[in-house]
Amino acid sequence: MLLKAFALLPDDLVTELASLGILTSTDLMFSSTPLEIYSRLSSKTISFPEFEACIKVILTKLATSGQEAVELDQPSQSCFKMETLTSLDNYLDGGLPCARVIEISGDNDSGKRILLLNCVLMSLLRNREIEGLWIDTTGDFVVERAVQILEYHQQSLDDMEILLQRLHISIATDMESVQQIIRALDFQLALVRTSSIQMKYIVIDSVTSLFGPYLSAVSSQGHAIMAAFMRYLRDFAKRYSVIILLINNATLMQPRSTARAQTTAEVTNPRSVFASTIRKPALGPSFTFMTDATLWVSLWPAQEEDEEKFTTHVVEVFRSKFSVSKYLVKW
Amino acid sequence: MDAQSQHLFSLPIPPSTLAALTKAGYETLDDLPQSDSANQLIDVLNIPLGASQTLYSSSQRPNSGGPGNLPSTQTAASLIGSISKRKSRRFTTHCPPLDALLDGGLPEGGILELSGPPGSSKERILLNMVRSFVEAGRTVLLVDCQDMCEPCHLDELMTDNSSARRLVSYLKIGSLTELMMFINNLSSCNDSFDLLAISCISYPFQNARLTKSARNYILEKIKQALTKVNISQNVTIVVTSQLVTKLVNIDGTTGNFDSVGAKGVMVPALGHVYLPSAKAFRVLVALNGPTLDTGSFRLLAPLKPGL
Repeated sequence: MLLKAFALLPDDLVTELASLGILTSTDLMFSSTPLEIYSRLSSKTISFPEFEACIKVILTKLATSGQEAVELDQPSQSCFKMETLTSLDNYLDGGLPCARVIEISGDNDSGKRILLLNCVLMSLLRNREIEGLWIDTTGDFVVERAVQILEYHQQSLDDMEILLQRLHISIATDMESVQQIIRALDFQLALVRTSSIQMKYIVIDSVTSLFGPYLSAVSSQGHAIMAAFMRYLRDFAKRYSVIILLINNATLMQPRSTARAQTTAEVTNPRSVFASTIRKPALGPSFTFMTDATLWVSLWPAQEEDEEKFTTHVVEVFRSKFSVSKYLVKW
Repeated sequence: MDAQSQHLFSLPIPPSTLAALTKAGYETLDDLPQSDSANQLIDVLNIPLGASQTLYSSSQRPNSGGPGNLPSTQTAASLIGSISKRKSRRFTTHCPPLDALLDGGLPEGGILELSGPPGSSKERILLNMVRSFVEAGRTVLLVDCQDMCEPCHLDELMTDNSSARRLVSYLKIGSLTELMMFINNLSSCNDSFDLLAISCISYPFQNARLTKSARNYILEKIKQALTKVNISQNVTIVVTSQLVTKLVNIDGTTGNFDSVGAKGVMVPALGHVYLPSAKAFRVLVALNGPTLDTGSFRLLAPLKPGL
């Protein structure tokens, strides 16, 4: 933060520090010891104890406030949960918890989008006071699919229309637009609203096309953009108790290159229970640590004895902060 | 550091501007002075006008209101309503079998890819679409990547329509670089048009030596730009593409010339990566023999009807 933004610092001190090249609070804290900085000041308009007191004030303002452990032990039953599949919900103690950022990754056509759409619509159906935002970044979202799902659940046209009024769909093909939408939503939710309908879901479909173009092997700016945005999403989810669901695509597992490595051999994903999983979530190894859970959806190969036309999908919990990993569900 | 304010490195500003701002100690949008006009940063830090305008437009507070007032957002119910209104207007390709395949013609705001061998009439159908739009009084941007659709051909086709010259804009693309420049500038183009017709989009890729990842990157960029312009400005897109041979083994996996029993299959040259896959109609135009009198159309996508 800029030193001149702190009203508590005297202006001449700020100007003096600026002439020494110290413009931000980070420079003041970490460039050198307070004694060394004070000795470099040309005209001593304040005394050294006063200078130390100023630094202490800045530190207090910037530091994160502490929280007692007893406050952190919130009962999880009172928190809103998103129900997904029965066995997964039984395992997760009711469903996906709110105030979290959850990644759903999988290969193309593995069923991630349809799974999320089903879960969001069912949640909107059961609870008439919540609404959801679906941000489509690839243009692949087909709204008729939502209608088909609601028809399957025997909803009349009027009920369908009322429900679909609570599902907002945005089209944003790049980072800038998504930032604009979410920050605008942030601003609106921050105002005190008397409306009873609460925003509970934000789905970003998909984040791979959003962050992918920025990630490169020669620059870390893309990674910084990704990390900063993920941190903002995490903060947003906590502040408004929203569940943020991110759809991520998959890439092939690369074999570790050694002199004797066979490049044609397929590498299996150690996070998966199945040896047939040869792909991993995209966006690099650090993305999974920027979310609270990573679910992996894959298509189960069709068996010969299946005569009816249906497909089987498998959901695995690769990593989770609120449950044990390496759990799988077949639906 | 406050997680709520937006970092300056995530904004689309030139690297020199970012370096100047970082050196002056500005890290997030909240650090920028709010009440001043853009001139302060220009004079003190030598930031170009365009970059400072980007900075101030990003830091503007949005309007209040419910989620209905978010930028580029509408409810699912109104989206369905607008789609049904759009689908009622269909443009004919002047080719009855293709119109039948498309359920009456290409809907407004739809995307059509025509691929086929040389000699199949895909360019002719493209020009027919241009004619449909001109007859309806809409503007067209015709991009020619292979010198197949000269303006004089277009003139001959539309002799009975005097406004054709005013409604159709023509652009010739010579290389992959020019194609990428066009794609990058597409969304910021000031002139609006209703139909984007690209003749032979696969041709610039033929002679370019690209690694697989570079090619995928370029195709993703094209997809992003086409999606953006299709959705935000409701532009109908018609594209023609050549075919390439793909060798397929008996068990369906990709083969090569040495595989025993491998068959050669003709597929569209660029695959499906560059099109927004859910909405695009992909049609293969094939010829039924050397006489060039009869041919057939095959719909490759979408596979599920009613979309």
